[in-house]
Amino acid sequence: MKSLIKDLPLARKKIYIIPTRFGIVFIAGLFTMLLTAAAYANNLVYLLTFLLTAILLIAMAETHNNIRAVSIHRVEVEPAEEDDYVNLKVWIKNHGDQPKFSVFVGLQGKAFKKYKGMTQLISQKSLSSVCFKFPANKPGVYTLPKLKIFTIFPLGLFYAWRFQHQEQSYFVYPKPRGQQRLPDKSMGLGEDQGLQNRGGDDFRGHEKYIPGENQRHIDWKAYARGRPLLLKKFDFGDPRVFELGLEKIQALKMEDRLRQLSQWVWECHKNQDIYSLDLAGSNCDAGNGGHHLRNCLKLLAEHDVWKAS
Amino acid sequence: MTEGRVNENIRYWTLALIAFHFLLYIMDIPVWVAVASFSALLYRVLVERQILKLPGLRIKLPLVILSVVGVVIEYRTILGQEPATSLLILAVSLKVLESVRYRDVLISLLLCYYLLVGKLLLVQSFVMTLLLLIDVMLVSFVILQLHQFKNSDRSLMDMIKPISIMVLKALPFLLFLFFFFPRFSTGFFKLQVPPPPGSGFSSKLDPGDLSSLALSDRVAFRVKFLEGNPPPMGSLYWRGGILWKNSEMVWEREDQKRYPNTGLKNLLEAEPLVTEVSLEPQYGQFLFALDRPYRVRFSDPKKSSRLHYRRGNSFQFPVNLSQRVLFNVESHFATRDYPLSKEERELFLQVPGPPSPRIQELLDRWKKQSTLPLQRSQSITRFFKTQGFRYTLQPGKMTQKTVDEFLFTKKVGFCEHYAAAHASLLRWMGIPARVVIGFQGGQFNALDNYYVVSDKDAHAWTEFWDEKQQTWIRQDPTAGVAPLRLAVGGRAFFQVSEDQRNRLTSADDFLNLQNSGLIGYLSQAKLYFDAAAHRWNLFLLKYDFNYQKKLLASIGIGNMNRWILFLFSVFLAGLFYFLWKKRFYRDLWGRTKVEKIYASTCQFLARQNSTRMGYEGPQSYKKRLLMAFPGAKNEIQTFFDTYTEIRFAKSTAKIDLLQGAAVKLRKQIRRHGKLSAS
Repeated sequence: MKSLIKDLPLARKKIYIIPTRFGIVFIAGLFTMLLTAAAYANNLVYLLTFLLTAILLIAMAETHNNIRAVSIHRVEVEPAEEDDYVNLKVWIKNHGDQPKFSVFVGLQGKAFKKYKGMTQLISQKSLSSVCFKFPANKPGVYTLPKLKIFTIFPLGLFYAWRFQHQEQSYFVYPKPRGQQRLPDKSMGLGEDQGLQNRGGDDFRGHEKYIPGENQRHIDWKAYARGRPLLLKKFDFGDPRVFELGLEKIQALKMEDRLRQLSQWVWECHKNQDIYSLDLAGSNCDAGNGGHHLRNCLKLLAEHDVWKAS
Repeated sequence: MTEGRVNENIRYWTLALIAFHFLLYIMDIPVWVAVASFSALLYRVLVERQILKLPGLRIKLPLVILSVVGVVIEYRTILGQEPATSLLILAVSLKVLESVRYRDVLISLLLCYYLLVGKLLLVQSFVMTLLLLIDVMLVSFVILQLHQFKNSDRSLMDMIKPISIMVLKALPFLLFLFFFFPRFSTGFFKLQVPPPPGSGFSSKLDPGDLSSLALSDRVAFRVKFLEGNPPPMGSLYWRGGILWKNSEMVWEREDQKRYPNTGLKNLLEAEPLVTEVSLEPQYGQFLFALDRPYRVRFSDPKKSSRLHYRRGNSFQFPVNLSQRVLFNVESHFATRDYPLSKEERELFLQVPGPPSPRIQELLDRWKKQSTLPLQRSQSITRFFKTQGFRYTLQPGKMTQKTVDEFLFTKKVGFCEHYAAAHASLLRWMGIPARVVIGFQGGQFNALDNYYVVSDKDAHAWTEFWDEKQQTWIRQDPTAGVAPLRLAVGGRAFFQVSEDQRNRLTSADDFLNLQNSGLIGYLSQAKLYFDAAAHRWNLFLLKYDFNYQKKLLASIGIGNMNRWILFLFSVFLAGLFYFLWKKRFYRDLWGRTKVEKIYASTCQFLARQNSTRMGYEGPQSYKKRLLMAFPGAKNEIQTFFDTYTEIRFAKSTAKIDLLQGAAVKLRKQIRRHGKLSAS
């Protein structure tokens, strides 16, 4: 399923910087050290205090510079499942001449404080990607909260951040949940057609294995022969056609009906069937593939019932 | 990185640093604290190796209570520098036994800084200064590691470099703050320490006290003559205090009457010798100065006013010294004294009882020979010289501690034996006398023109009251039994074994021995090092509030309100920073010319919307570019292949070609443009 991509403009914004908790404790520590030095008139303790103060100042400059020439280049958001996570992939670009280290990307807002991703190194004038996720709540169409780039490198004394303006939207589709069988075109409501799991028999060919795919179909014999990891792809035969719609479902709540539809949509997609979706008011013509899946899920997400509660 | 467990490497580094800081204190803390702290560290290492498990609260809570109780038992209090230090060490030890998270590492390292501060309060020297610098770098290094790569394939050297650069950049601020941050005048003597054990000098002198002190070679103080010519070595006496309660071979002082330090300048008959003394803190309240001191001054008049003057031209600190101190002394050996009061005369004539018959015989003989106190005193000295007495560092014990035993049975002693006997004999002859304790001699360091006086120079001598001249006169019985000891100083004298000593006849012999061979070289090297370290210590001692005031006055900030000065300091600091940032920041990571060319070419290509990805090496990037800019194929090929050769095949010959290839590349791409939006 294709994700929603947005290439962001090179917006340079103001950098904010404050001491971290450790920084505050450190500064308090410096004060007591200074008092000690003054009380005992001990030049070496003065020396230590001033050296640490100087390092504090330098660290502030370094932290500031660590995100100075960094901006977000591109954001990729995948549609999220209800009660699951919204997966974000952010590309950040270092426009500067020096490499940047340990740069975090997160979202603005106290609620999102925990959710962030980090890249350990962005070389000069290059890009780096950061993946992170935050919990999706109920289905609907949302705007992504403002993205935040921040860092506490090098000494954890200061916390510097900047925001990137973007209007990125994403949607959360209802959780696929339901026990009802897929409706056959020719039949009425929910009659058992024994068409739920379509196994394929015809071997279609090999496809390169990408980490994350179903490992059950790996062709180990080929691998033993020295070829790379390959997946055996089977034909499902002729694609079946389904018309999916609200009226085909019996359930009390609208939300559950939408969830059932979501489950049907996913099943059809997995089995490479052709399907259309009909919600009272909006519909989607028959088709299959990634785009089609996304459009249907989006429709499900956009339903008014989610906006109510 | 701020959540979750900390990388294993960092845990080991933190433990190592904590161990390092504990080692700083190994000599200063009670044995049980040292054992407890290192056991905790060892335990932790075993936990890391997964041999043991971390202790739970049930074990830790009693440990906490035990620690506090232990400290209270040891020191009777928890207030004060020593108990606080022990508590801190125990606290860090307990922390080591806890599961380590991000903030634990930071807190532990901050506590390490405090341990360092505690140590700096006790010892200030050149070595400590270097240690300070290394310590800051190590701690910063660990903190940097904590915030950087998880699975780092950057070598140790790669990370030392940014830390070193950070410290270098911090130096200008440091210097500025150090010299211009307003210092405050302190009330002095803040650090209360208990009386040092076995400092050698106390209000009682027993036979054997000074000889045991003279076994050590600790430096006592260093002296520089500021005004006047230094007297010859034989006359270099350093006065500490006087004793007057006579118990034959044991001498004490009793009353604690102290007078304010207003100086006795009116008693000086001639221009005084002015000396600058930097005294080590191991003698409690004793202050040593060139015989006879009339005035002792600190650079801070408040400190000077807190000194006490005691009977007999001796000065004293109000509390036991904790740090090295620096002061000026005005002294002169030709003196005039206030006439003895009746009470004082009684004090200085007090005897425990009549002399033994043998002694009485001697005294009668001497009294007949002369009536003058000086000559009578010299008779005693001659007695020591001619009657087979020995002067040694190991005099052995005395059973009865009587003069009789010393004169006729024992006949072996150190300076305190001779001084005690001499003063007793004088008193029995009706001459008011007293024992003076301090040092005699010292080693001259020609590099910086100062004398180093050590424990080996510890000495006791006598003074008697001359009725005619109305003054106290110094008479050192050691001059009779071991004149060379006075002529060469304690260190040189006792460097040689007793047998060898008996063979040497002049001061020169001693000096030749001292400067010969390996010992000669070693002592030369020691002199160099001592001179350098002494310079640094003087700087640390001298730069205080008053000195700063003078320094600031010399550049015109004399009258400024201190608050304004502080703002000025802050402002200048900020200014320095911005100037520094402009100049040096660019080359923080030190890129080479080749890298610069490559980087600027990538920048150019980025502007053409073909940014190099972080993971793309030059060849992969080249492949992608060949597809995107077919019109510039050759130039792209040339540039990237040249770069690859230089970088990876290290063919330095091609560096000149790189710039040309880059230029051609840009021209070609500008001319033909990009294929289509990717």
